[in-house]
Amino acid sequence: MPRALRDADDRTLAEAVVQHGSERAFRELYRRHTPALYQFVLRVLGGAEAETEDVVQEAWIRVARKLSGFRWESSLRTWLSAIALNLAREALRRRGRVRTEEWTDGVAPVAPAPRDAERIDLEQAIARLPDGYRAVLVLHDIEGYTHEEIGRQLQIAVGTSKSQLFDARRVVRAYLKPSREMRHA
Amino acid sequence: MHEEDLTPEERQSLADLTRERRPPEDLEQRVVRALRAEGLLAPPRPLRLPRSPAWIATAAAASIALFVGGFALGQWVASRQAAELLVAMHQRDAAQASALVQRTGSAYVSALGALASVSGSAGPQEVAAGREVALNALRAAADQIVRLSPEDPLAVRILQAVHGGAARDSLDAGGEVASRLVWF
Repeated sequence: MPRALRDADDRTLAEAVVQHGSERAFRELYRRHTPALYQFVLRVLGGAEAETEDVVQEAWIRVARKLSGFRWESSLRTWLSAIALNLAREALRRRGRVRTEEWTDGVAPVAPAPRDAERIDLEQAIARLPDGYRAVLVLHDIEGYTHEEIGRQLQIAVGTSKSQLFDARRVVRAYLKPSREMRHA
Repeated sequence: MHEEDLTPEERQSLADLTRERRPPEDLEQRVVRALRAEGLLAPPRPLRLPRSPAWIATAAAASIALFVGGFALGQWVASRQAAELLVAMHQRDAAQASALVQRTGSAYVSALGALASVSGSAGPQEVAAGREVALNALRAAADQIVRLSPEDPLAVRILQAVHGGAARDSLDAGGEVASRLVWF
């Protein structure tokens, strides 16, 4: 990859893609943002690799389709993540794993805590969360979204986001209790 | 419950989680192919070759060199294969000749055994004729064995014995060397 491309900002690269269909510029954008995007989607989907690949691929395709109309009021990464998150939620809905109560104020069914002998780390505990809880916890506690942003992104009330986060943390602590609370192994 | 509820240790654990993960190698290519198919990325450019006379001359020379080199290599490989084929055929012929000696030798011994078994009842002339043929065959065979292994002392002694016997037979027959050989 030429140094000029590596040094170019996202907007310059995006313009090269839009105006010239530059594959090199697109590949640079892809390589710059996909590792973080991939990890984010993988967490939201609870570690489902095949679905994560599909979501990431589709997210890039949608971004490329709409790139000419992107107004750069947010960063490319934020926009990309938002599109990927919507796609991930669609994937979860298709699986029938997201129950209505997880996105409202209801209490989602939670997998039982692991036995004392079974030690899991924080990553595994997050992956075991119900899908709705996990999405809120990943967005808030890992990705740094505010409850307002989560509310807009997931189309839920701010209060719902807060209560979902409360429940998610409680469940994670319960999962980690046999070892230590929220310890990263 | 608010985010302030996290303990410092919990915050650190969350902060320590991996933020990036390497996607599968082929995913990038899949995305690029899909975008090309939609016309969002330009198709790959065909290789554009320079058209200067010097370049054309160099390319022609390289092509000729490549052709000649390939032809020579092909010839060498073909001749090598032919030599290997001759060796293989020779080896196969030798094996067939050995097998033939085995079969005819057995037939020769069997025939002599049959002659011996009927020698008491058959006429003396027929038996003498059979014996003469057998000795001639033995002499010829001894010649070939010595030809096959000139340094083999056993082969040389056999040859001397059969030829010495033949000389004595000739003297006994008044100088008339029996040479009525029916060869097969």
